Amino acid sequence: MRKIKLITLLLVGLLAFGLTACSDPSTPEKLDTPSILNRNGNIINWSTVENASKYLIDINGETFESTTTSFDFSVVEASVYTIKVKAVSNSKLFEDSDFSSPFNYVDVSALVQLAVPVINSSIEQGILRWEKVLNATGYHVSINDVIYETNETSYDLSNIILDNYQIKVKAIGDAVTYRDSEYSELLELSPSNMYILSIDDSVTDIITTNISVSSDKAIYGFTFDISYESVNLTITEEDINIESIIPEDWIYDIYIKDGHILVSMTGLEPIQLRLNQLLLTLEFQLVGPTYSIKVESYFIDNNL
Amino acid sequence: MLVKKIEVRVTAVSTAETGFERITITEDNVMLFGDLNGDFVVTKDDAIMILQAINGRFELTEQQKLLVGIVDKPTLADVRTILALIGGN
Repeated sequence: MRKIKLITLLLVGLLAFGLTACSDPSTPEKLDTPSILNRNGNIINWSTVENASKYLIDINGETFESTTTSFDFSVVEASVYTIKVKAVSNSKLFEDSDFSSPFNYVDVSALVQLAVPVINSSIEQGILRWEKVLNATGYHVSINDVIYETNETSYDLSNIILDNYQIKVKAIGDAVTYRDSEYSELLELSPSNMYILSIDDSVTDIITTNISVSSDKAIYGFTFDISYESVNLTITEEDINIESIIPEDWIYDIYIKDGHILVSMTGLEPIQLRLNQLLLTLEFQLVGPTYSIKVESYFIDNNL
Repeated sequence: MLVKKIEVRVTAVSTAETGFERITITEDNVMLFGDLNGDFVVTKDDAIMILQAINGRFELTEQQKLLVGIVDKPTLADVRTILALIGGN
């Protein structure tokens, strides 16, 4: 009998201990962490947390309170915002939640807008160039609404084969202090069969002449008749360089006679030269007081 | 231009049945299309000859024109005709 009493007392004791351990009010339950859902203008919205009596909103290190699940963050004057929210309870049964993941927002209207790039309208050797924009981190080049990114102030268009080109450039800001510029004025280019002869006489006694070519169609060959004053200028075949844009399996002939340089070249594989790409470089030796170099005739063979 | 012996042999299905066989042997000049320099092969050199003619280094003869099918003046397309014959460069 005494033994039964002892076992009963032990069981009651264990039961009492178990019940106390399950409902210990000294261990409050942690609230769920709110999630920032969206931004609507200057208003940030987050998820409702059950048993939360209010929320603390951390905006760039400053703390604010709200009893609802939204807050107007424009109370802090800034262009870049880092916002976090945590749920708070006034009950001892609940512990405050952790702060939510930060929500970052850049008010671009508050940033300094970069200057608009100015494009150089003449495309030389297929390269588009523009003036550097102060504080730009890069540039977006829009060509017929396809965006190309670069950190340079130029872009090689030679491998972009189009019938016509609508080009604009904008400077990209750092999104902290500077925002993107507006796009530059539109540069419209419509390639056609033509050449550009440019002369560099900056080196004493050497007249470097470049001939660049463009065409709106595939090119299968060229002929050029370039005249010069043979009294004042001299040149040999070794002074004439055909640029690497010409495929290796093309064949050519260069004939210099009576103040004329005749160049013919062709091949089975066509090439695409839309925007003034360098074809020939001629280095004349100046032996007289003046000089004159010009293209007498040319033919760009589109195999039509 | 190449002088070639040409043999034309006409044989009946069975000589036993017809009792004859006709053989004609002639020698004739054969010209190789595209062989402008007459070395009996068509090469890049023949194509370059046309480029040189385009540049005015010399005039192609009527026979050379015939070998490429040039009617008037040589063109870059005529050069490519030769290149196509030799499968490129």
